[in-house]
Amino acid sequence: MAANEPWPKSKRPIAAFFRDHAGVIRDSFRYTSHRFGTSLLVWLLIGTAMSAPAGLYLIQRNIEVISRQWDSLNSFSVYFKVGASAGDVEALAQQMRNQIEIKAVTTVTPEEALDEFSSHTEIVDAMTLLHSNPLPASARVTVADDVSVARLSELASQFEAVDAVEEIVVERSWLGRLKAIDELIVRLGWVLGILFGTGAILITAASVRLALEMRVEEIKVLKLVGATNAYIKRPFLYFGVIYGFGGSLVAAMVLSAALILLEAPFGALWSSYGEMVNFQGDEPAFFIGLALVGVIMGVAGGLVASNQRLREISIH
Amino acid sequence: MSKIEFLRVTKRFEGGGEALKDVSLVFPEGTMTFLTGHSGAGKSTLLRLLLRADSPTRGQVFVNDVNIAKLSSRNIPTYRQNVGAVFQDHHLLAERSVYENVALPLRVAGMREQDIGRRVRAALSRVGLLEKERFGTRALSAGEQQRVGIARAIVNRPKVLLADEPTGNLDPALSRDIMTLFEQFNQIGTTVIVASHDRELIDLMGFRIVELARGCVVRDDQVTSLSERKDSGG
Repeated sequence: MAANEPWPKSKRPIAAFFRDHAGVIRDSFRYTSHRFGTSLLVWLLIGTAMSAPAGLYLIQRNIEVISRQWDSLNSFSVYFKVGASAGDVEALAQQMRNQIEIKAVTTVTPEEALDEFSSHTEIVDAMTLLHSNPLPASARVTVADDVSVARLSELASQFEAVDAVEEIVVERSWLGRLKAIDELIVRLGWVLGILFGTGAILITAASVRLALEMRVEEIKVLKLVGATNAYIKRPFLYFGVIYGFGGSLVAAMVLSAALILLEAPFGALWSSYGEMVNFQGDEPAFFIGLALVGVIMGVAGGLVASNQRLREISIH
Repeated sequence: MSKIEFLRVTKRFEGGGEALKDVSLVFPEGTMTFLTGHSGAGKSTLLRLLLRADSPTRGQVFVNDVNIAKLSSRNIPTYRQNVGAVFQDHHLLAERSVYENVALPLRVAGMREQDIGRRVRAALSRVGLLEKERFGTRALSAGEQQRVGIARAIVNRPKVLLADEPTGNLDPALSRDIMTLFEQFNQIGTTVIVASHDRELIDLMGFRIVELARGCVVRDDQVTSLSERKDSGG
């Protein structure tokens, strides 16, 4: 006998633990299904709260995929001065090709540029009035895939000092903006995730608290007959699990509907840029993750409610 | 077996007076004792302290030489599993059947379902409610509800049995039967403490009587272990 206990402690069989859980799960489902209207409201509230950050997460993931795909298109354009000789253009192109990090250099002569311009515009007549071709020669420079954005800018600026070069354009500013938006969405996702996550936990806690208040007498009796706090808390944690899981199902349905609605216009938008982008977010892993988050938040809500209230309930 | 000792115990409630004042009592193991006295005498407080539903303001309560006020919150449930308690207001679960109410301490203890069934029916049989095991407790009379509470208190074969006005809702014949039931438990070694107003019944039973008044022990008929009662023909 332990010195601090009046009687020897009898061991609780392991099988009893699983029996208890099975019984509590059965009772919890019975409880929530008997109050389906209330349970549905709780699921909708939690689901709505989970949808916003989960939706932002999906948006962020898709932006990340797009920016990663476009990130691999590392290139810059070199515009020569009007009147730069073909020899100057070819010399610089050759100099560029000799650099290990540069994969390809495609030059466009002023004549080729004018032809291309003419094929795209209706102002050919106006162009014919000019005595000389106003368009400069240019070169499209593509660098190796592993070249970073910073290195790309360095490479480009190397050639700015060349006499024949008028301007070098690194077409990455829009990609930079996209990345800034991506970063903003990540942070917004965190902020909303914390806010709405806390909200979902509190909604669960309030619902579990309500269930707990309806069972105060039962809790007193359980305490009276020697139930441990873990035993008493168990049904309330399962309520939390059911509410959290149900909420995550609602969130999954909301997001699936949003994905179905957005996939077609999204695909059309990116294909107009010549890109094939697969919409991210309909993988099982995402929904399993969502369900796990829901369950964890439900358990947290159940713990918040039961820990606080059980301390206050005493045997009268 | 369980020896209980109150050592100079005082219990003061916030905003109220002293429910117990410097009470020292010993309940030897395997004895049966009646606590009596008017309302507010301190009988229920004494039982609550023993149930570890409260702690003394001063003094100590020992069970088997362990100061139960010092029990850790983890050990209190195990302690209570060994203490059967009967209250005048039953503390039954209204939504559950008679069977489920009585089975509760056994489920808490993790007993197997077939053993639970056997024990519950034995306990219900002893209080004369076997035929009502499937009834909801709301469908029972106050006296029957009291007997369900008693069945629940004895079903786990507790080492200590505490009863606060257990016969308050029962007719004299049934009261006598219930007291005989407690007596049978006492005979197999359970320490039984019964708080009751019913002087006639208490006197009839012939066990030790401790009378409380305003939180103090005013009378203690010390004798009456089972052997002494048998010797004296009780």
